[in-house]
Amino acid sequence: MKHMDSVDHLTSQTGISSIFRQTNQGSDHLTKISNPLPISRSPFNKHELDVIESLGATYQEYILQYAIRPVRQETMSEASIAPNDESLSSSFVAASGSFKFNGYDQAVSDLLRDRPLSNTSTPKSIILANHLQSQTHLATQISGVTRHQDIFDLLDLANHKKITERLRYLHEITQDDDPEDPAMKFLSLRELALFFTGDGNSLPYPQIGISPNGSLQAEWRSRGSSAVMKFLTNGNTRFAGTMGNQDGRQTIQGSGTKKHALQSILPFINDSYS
Amino acid sequence: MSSLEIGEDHHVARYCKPSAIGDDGLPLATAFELRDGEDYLSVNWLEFFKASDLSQTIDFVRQAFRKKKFGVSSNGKFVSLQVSKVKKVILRNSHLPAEIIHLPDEENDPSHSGIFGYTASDELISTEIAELAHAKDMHQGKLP
Repeated sequence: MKHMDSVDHLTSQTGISSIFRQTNQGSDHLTKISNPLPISRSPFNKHELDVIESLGATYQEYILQYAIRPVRQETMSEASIAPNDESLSSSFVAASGSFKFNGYDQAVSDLLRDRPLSNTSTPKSIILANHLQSQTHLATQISGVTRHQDIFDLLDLANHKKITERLRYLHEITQDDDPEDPAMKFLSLRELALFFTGDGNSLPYPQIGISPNGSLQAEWRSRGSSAVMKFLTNGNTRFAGTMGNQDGRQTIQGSGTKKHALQSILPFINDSYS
Repeated sequence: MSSLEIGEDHHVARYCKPSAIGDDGLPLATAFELRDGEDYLSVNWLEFFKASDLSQTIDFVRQAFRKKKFGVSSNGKFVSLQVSKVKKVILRNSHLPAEIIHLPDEENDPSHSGIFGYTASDELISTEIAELAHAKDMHQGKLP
């Protein structure tokens, strides 16, 4: 079977691999384990599994089947794994060991109210489940709307104000400017929004442009390093990255899912902002 | 039609639409992307005008755009790039020959030229060409 993800062009494979390792060690992103763990080897203890089960079949399946876990287990009690936007999900104070949920995730909030928070260990699964539920809810909303404006509003709500501002500007100028200018493709906008409210949520603010065919492209760059990710209307991406100096350059170019693109260009994004 | 290849030490200008200018005022990679099916990127050969300074040269290019009735926005920008640097980017990332060729529209746009050597799916090349641009290379699109 042909793989959808591909890398057309890659230089300095060894160098990129080592950067990947460094990146993952310092990353707080959630990662998907390719081979789901059996429950007996799950990263969650029995009590946490009970709580996950009580969240309902959907989330139980989401967490257990896909075995999503944080890369850095030791950072689970720190605020860095919490969603950025309090209005959308949850907030908590790690220092006091107490947790406060103030979003629309009422199920998790109810569960926590029944628990003696000050005497409990960090409820990793609860935080994770809450985070995933918020992301899933937002993704569902983004997937369900049909107008550019709706997606701008949802991105705004998700606290991506700079991205929203740029997208609104691009949408306006491509309507008002040159009639030959490509209009912003709605399906490309949707894919960009899904990315920046999902796996790309904690990435640095990108520059955003419109390619000649109307697809949106996010770009990160500085000091000789660049990474680009083009959001195609079919949900896939095309991507490229370049970094280095006169002594040598490392480059990559390819196509595939958003997750594949992110994994491929993350070293180039990190290099741009290091 | 001329098929003169432009000298390595010469310069070309590319008009970047507002949607292809980043928040930092520099061109995005999208400014140098080709449309599907296009085999060259349209640019203007600056030394063609034999003008005394760069701002005057860019003004000649603005005039050509007006003659062609090609929309130039005050938020758009022209970026000037050295031919040898652009060709170097293409040479190291493409299997196609890198050429910048004079393709004049004698009536309206005599300095019109094309950058050959890459395709619409070469995001890496458009990204690296964008990296060549610095603030000093940027010139306003439509003058007030």
